[in-house]
Amino acid sequence: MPRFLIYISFQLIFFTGFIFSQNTGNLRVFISDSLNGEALAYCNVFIEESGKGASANEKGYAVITSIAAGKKYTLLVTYVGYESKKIDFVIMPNKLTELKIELNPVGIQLQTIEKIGEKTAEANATDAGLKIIKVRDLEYLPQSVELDIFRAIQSVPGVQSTSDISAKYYVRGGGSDQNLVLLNGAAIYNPFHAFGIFSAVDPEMINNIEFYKGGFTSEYGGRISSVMNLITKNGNKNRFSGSASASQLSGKALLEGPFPGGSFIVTGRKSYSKAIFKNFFNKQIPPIDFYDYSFKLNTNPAFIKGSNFNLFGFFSKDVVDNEGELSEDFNWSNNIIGFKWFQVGSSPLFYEVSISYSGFEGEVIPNLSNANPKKNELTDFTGRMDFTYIFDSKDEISMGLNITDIKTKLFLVDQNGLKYDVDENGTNFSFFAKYKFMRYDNLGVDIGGRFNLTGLLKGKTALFEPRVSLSWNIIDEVKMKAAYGIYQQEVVTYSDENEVVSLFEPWTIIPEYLDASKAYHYMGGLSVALSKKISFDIEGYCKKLQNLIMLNEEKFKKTDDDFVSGSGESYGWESSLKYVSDIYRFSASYSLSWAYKEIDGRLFYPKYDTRHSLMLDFEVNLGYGFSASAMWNYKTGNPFTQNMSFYDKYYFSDFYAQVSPFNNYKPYAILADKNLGRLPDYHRLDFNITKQFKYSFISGNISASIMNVYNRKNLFYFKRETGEKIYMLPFMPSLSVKVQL
Amino acid sequence: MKKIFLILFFPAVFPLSCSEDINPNAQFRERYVLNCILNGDSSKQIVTILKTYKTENFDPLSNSENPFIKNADVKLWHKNKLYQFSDSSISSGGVQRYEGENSFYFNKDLRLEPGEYADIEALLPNGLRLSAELKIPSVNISFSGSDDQIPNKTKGDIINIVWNHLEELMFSPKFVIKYFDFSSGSAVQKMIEVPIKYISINGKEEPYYPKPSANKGYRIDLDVFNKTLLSISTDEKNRNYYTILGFSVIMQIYDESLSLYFNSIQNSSDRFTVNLNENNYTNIKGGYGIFGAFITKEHKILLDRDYIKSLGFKTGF
Repeated sequence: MPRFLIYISFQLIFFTGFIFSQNTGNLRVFISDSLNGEALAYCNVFIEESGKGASANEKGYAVITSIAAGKKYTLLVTYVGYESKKIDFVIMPNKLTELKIELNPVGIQLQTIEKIGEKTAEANATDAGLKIIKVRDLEYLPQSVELDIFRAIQSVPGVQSTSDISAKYYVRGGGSDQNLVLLNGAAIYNPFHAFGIFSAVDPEMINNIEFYKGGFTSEYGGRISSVMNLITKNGNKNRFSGSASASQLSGKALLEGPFPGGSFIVTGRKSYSKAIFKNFFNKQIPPIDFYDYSFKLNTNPAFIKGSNFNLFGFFSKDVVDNEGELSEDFNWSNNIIGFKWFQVGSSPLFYEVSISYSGFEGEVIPNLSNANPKKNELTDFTGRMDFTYIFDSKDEISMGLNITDIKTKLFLVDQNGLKYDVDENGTNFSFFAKYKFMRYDNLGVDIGGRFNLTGLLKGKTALFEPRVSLSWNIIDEVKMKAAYGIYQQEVVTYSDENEVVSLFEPWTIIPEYLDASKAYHYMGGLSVALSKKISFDIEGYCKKLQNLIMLNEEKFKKTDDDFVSGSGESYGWESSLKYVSDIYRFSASYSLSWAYKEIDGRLFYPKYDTRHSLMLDFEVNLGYGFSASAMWNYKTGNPFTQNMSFYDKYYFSDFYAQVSPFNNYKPYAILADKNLGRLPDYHRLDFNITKQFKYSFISGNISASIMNVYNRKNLFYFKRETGEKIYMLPFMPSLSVKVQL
Repeated sequence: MKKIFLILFFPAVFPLSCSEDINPNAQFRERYVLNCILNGDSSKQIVTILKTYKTENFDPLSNSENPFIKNADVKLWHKNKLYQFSDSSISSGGVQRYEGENSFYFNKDLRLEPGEYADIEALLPNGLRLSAELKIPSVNISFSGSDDQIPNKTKGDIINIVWNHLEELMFSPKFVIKYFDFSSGSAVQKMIEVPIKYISINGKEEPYYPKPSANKGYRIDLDVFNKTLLSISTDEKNRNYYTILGFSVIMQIYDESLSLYFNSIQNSSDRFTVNLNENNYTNIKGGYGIFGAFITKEHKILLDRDYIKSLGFKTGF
């Protein structure tokens, strides 16, 4: 396979790529928002006369190659939420013609999660498993306290959660630590606030989200389930502006404006109220405080034409400071800083060099409580260089080098009182290459792979991870997609499958006595445009997991291994039907899925296995700046382990007091086979109404949401020792206000 | 269009059904539990044997059937000698959860030999057999790293109490000041426990005592020691009614099985983590429960006479 790829690359670069017709030229378009200069990712451009088109990449660049030279053309640029624009241009032979186009945002209109029903310019785009999500489209959905990207992502078919208490998500039968979360390409290791209730990523700083449910192509590595690539805003290039918003949980502020040669943006968020936590913690109010802030400096220096430099940072911290020495304290933080140099060449060439640092620290300080001490540190230095070249044929080649050096330190005392104190470090030096056959209008093939020249596990990481993604427009209305790939993961969290609420999930490099986790993804599906307003998608998948790292539940002695290796499998299909009109939008998505894990010959459903999941979503533009939405979510109950019987277990604190041996017994549940029971079905209706306003130079919105409108008592778990039932979120109204200057 | 919608959408919804029922219990299988913790300080040893039970609801406390089993044949072997346990029972007296008699088994002639092995076997009335073995912990515990006098003249205001044992076990220490109380006219021997620190709970200072753990030492502020000593008599004039006899470290040493069992029953999670599966360590073959042992060792640390006298107490050492 590697030899084949090298051969193909060589042939294409040195023969196909430079066969220029004397009568053609190329067009590169950069599309941005006219008000703030923000790049409009995934925007569509069409040449009316030739019908050729392209979609912009995440940086707002679209390239159309092999356009007959010497003619006058009209370029149509369209983007949801913006006025379409037509631009006349002329193509010069053997030249790259560059256009910078600014689109004007339209007023308040119906917003959608995806550009559903919109015909994409690149019908053959290899986007199996990929969802592009614009954050501004999420603002109109029902919110739990405030807009949260990770909670919003749970409405995507194939994405599960174990409860509505947590923002942690599970994709197509994979664990939560198998999801790669990137911020401008830098990994975030703990993207949560408040014990996982909310995400640490403030949506105010995010422009777009690329979310791969699986089958991701070769530029991504290091995780075996999904990829969420969060692309931050660049800031307003045209004028200084700011916004402030408040919810029942936190206050936020954003400042942006021009910077020499570019722009800057600074965001900050700080929690100020804890009362809302009582809905999430069974009426307890933990003393959680958190903050996060981010910045990005972005400049296009004149001394390197076509270059863009940006420096970004993201910092978050959570502190739980209990009163008194008998309670434990917590703190955890993320610190990310990165630098990128993006360059567009004089030909249809893009390249990028980036370096980033991502650090995570988490600690449980027991004080004089019974809690065990735990401390985790992780540092990740990553350097990356990659380039993409677009041939006249529309084919693309991408290659890149990636060096990631990771150190993990983990100290903890487990629930058996055994100490675990391990420092691990390693360097992954990998190379990726892929070739996208885009020359046929109805067929796109992305074929490539990652080569792990060295792995974090020193000899336990496989060398090659092949990846293939293809799309085929069978007819204009029907597109078939498929993807296959092998994926590996070398860092995992030390998480306990039996915890329904986990506060501390430390990261560690897989110990040397185990191999890297590996996944095989197979997926295929159809997209059908039933009419201009109705679309239907269906996607099936199968994921086989090897060397899944799990906690050794049988560890009682120091000499027992902390981790054991198992396997897993998940499969299912997801379908969605969407209707979009100017006034309202309706979508129904359904997924049917199975997930299994196996360890020591024992097969069980993981806690996030959900058989049926149905989501109905309705949004309507009521006019006068009002929009409303309602979401109803149904899913079969999560698995739980039933009680086989109880016995009265003997408890003691010490043997100094002379007490009756019959007074120290408490019921203890002997568990049946793991996760064979099912909690009752889950369903919940959420509602949101948002009013946008504009007075003079001030604009903004007021958003009111109700979670669980009919106060469904969705069972979260029951306490085994007393039988008390604990429910998920009750009827919960929330209000948020955002003001922009 | 309506037809297309029906064709595509309804097959997806068809398999769904809103299940409201939950069965918390799987098929019941009866199991048995043996508990026996041998006390190295006593010749009287007790064994309890219980059976598992089921409930028809979520609440295990709703079980009213007494699970303690009688008429079992319990034997223990120690140093090549067989100890037969006698069947007995005690009235619950309304204190315990169950009405009626609670059965147990006892032997009052079993003295433990540190470092030796013990084997237990219980033959249940239904023919099932539960068994276990353990090694009594050794008494070879050394306090050589501890201060030899309080206060320590060279280390200042800290009292160091350190021990070493050959095995990685759990230790349950208790620091006590022993004294005679003459305030009632006659000598009454008493002791007061010294905490490792005083902590504030709801604005009130409370003593904090060491818990069983694998720790092999503590550092106690002399102020904590002073405060405990002075709490014997808060009235300075009456302190001559009290004669301080000495300071001791009383150490209970758990055997390996009891150490593992103790760890497994501790709720070592924080307040907000919810774990639905408490560890269940057992060394009982054929069932659940614990067969463990602990021994007790006392180590004395000298008290400085002048220091005791300076506080107004008499010395009795």
